[in-house]
Amino acid sequence: MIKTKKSAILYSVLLSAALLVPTALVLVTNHNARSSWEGRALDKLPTISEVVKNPKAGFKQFDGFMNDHVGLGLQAIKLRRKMNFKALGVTGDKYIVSNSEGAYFLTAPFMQVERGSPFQWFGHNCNALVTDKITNQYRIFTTKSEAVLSKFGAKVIFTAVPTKSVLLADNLPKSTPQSIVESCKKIDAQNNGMMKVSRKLPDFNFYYPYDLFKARTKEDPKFFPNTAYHWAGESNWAFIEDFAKKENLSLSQVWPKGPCIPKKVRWDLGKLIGVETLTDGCNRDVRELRLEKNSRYGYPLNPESKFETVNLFALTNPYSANDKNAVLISNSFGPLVREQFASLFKTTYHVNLNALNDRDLKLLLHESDIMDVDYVVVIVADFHYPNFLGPIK
Amino acid sequence: MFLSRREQDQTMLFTSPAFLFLFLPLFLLSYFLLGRRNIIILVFSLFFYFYGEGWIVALLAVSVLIAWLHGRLLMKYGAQKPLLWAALILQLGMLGYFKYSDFFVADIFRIEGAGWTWPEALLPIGISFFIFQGLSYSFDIHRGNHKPARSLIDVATYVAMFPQLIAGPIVRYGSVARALQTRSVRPRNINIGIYLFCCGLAQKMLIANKLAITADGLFGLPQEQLTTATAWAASLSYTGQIYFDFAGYSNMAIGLGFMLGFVFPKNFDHPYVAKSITDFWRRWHISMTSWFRDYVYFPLGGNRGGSFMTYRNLFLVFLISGLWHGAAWTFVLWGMYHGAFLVIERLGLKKVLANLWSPVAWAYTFIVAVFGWVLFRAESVPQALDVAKKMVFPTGGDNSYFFLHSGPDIWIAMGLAVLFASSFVEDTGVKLMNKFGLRSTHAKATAVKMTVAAVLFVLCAIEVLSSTYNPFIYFRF
Repeated sequence: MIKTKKSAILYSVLLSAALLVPTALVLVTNHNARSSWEGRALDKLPTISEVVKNPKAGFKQFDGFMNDHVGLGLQAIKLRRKMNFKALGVTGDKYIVSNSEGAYFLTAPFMQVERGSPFQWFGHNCNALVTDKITNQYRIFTTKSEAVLSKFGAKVIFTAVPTKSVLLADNLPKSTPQSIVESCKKIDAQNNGMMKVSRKLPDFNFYYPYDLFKARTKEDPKFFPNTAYHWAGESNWAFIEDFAKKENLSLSQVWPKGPCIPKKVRWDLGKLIGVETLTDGCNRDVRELRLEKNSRYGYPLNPESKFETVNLFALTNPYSANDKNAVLISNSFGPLVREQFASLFKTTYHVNLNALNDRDLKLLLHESDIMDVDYVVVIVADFHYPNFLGPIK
Repeated sequence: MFLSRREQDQTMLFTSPAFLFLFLPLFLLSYFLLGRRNIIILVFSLFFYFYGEGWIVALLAVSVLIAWLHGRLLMKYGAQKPLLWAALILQLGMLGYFKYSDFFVADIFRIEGAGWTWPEALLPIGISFFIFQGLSYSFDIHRGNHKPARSLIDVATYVAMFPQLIAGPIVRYGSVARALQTRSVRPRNINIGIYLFCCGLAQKMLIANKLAITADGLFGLPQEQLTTATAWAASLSYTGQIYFDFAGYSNMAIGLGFMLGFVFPKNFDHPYVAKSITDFWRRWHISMTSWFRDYVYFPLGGNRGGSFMTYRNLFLVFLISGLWHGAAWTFVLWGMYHGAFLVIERLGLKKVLANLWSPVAWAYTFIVAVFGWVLFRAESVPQALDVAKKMVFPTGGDNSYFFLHSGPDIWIAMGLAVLFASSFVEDTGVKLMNKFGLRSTHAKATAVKMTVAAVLFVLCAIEVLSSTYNPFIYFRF
């Protein structure tokens, strides 16, 4: 005899109803929001035949479906991550770590390629071992570009953005392995990966503004926003000013002079750790450049386009001080400096290699009409080469 | 052997959205609204097991059938020893094949080779627990402690009940035999159940899972990167993790039992405040310890055969207990290690400890337990020895890995672990409730407990909904 009080039954029904709320919300939740937030396709609900055929796999998939679709899931993720980050400075990702002054570092690849060990990028940048393989990767890229571009007389320049593992080598996160800390401290204007590569490939043009970035970062943590992985704000402007000076190019007639104004700038690591926010930076107004963005131009929107990926930006500059045209080929560091760069030329085409598939990249490099330019400038992160040549290990 | 491989197991974890927000409420609705409550428990329990293990659920059914058949035959022929032996051999045979055959073939007898390999056996989740419950049933009815269950449903409900099916506590038949027939469920039971469940959930989600990050990260380091500091950090983190993980799971199971009208035995009683290893084992995994005491130690002769036999029996019981936890040398050595300390304490150390200043006795016990967990957690004996060596002999090096695998949230979890390892918080809570008159009536005390439970549940739900790191430790034992 199992006796149950009516009040217990009522209580249990109310309790069950409350517990079922997140499941009921599956029906009305906008799942695209979570899919977009996490940058991946959510697990699908398994069919009954899938479960019957292989119950373990079927239920595993059901678990995945519940994890991805349960109501209030995205809100809980954002809330918890924000609480952790704001209150404790915890990123929830061992590949995103901070130093004692609150500067955040991304220490290994995220999303694009399989992750290696933590501090993989620190080790790469600071040990600066220019192996034959690495040299060859740079040679392949520059040679490939040269082969296509030299007939137009374009000047190919390979540039790299100094990143924080070398700029803030004196105050790396406590979790950085000691051997890497020591290596990072030894990095200087001559002893760094890019300069070593440039010495091995003397025929190619390299531009690596280590001194400029080191000095300015020391002066002002907002120069290269210290919570960001990518550069943003004043470092973009300073880079182009220095590059123009080195290449003897005139700045745009409407180039906004400094000083920059302290303001919030895009925080790239925010999305990776699940916290949407801006970060402290210093910027000038890019609208003052008065560029015309012509996204209609180029292969991607050509009806006969052979390209699968839409990834080409065209910018024209009515205030250019010269008649030169340029192509900017970059990884993710490029879009942040695209406008400033375009202001040096009459027309600039920008392609982000990270967003191009291999097939389209090859097409791009072998098609010729947009390559009828005076400059081809490649911008990548410190001692990296474009991703299509393979991951940095 | 465990933890890191747990993710592959994919059982329905108590801390998964599928369990908390679908299975549990549907089960509660069915249990309270449909009647035939033991059948409801059984159906949901079999589905619960099927969800994680697929058709291996048949093995669970076989174990139930063996126990039930033993009962039927006992009713017909009386308590015959051959019947008991048959039940034991069949149950232990299953356990032996599925859990230990690989270990014995490959590691102990080393009988593979010459083109012949032993087909690797699947290790069903919770097999050690449900086999032990089946054995408890057989022992108890054979000894006449309890009459055999009236129906197969009752035996199956007892053995397969999902709250304790995969990680305990090991419920003795005697403790639920009556409740299987007659029990009452009141709001008060549900309140106690909710409170215990939420406390267990918090132990698991807010403490154990955090400490697991440090323990896993540091135990996963190559040996040459481990220093004295990181070795201690790894061991202490694991010491906290295993307690709050296992105790949390036990509390959740006990809480669910309460909600259904059962009273499962207490499984932990603040083991890390013990002042001797003997005391530690009275407080740690109590249901297992008492199972081994009643069904192994006493049948071996207990302490009736003089000192030597007592020591031998103690040592043997802990050797077997180590093996019960896992089919690996690390577990065997862990069992022997604890068995050896129990013997040493019997030889006289216990008296010495009793006369020592309490903190010293406590420190001795805690340190012995921590070194024991090193054996328990390590992937191999050489790794365990390396970690232990570095804990004893100062080894410098790069301690940055500690910071890589820890952080403020984990330090907070460690602080909570220290606080909740003793009864300090509970005692203080009771004192405060008394002071403010919150225990003067049952309603007030319940309101306080339910408020605590609600807060813990919301915190855990946020964690559950947002976390993917969610393995349980004790499933394969």
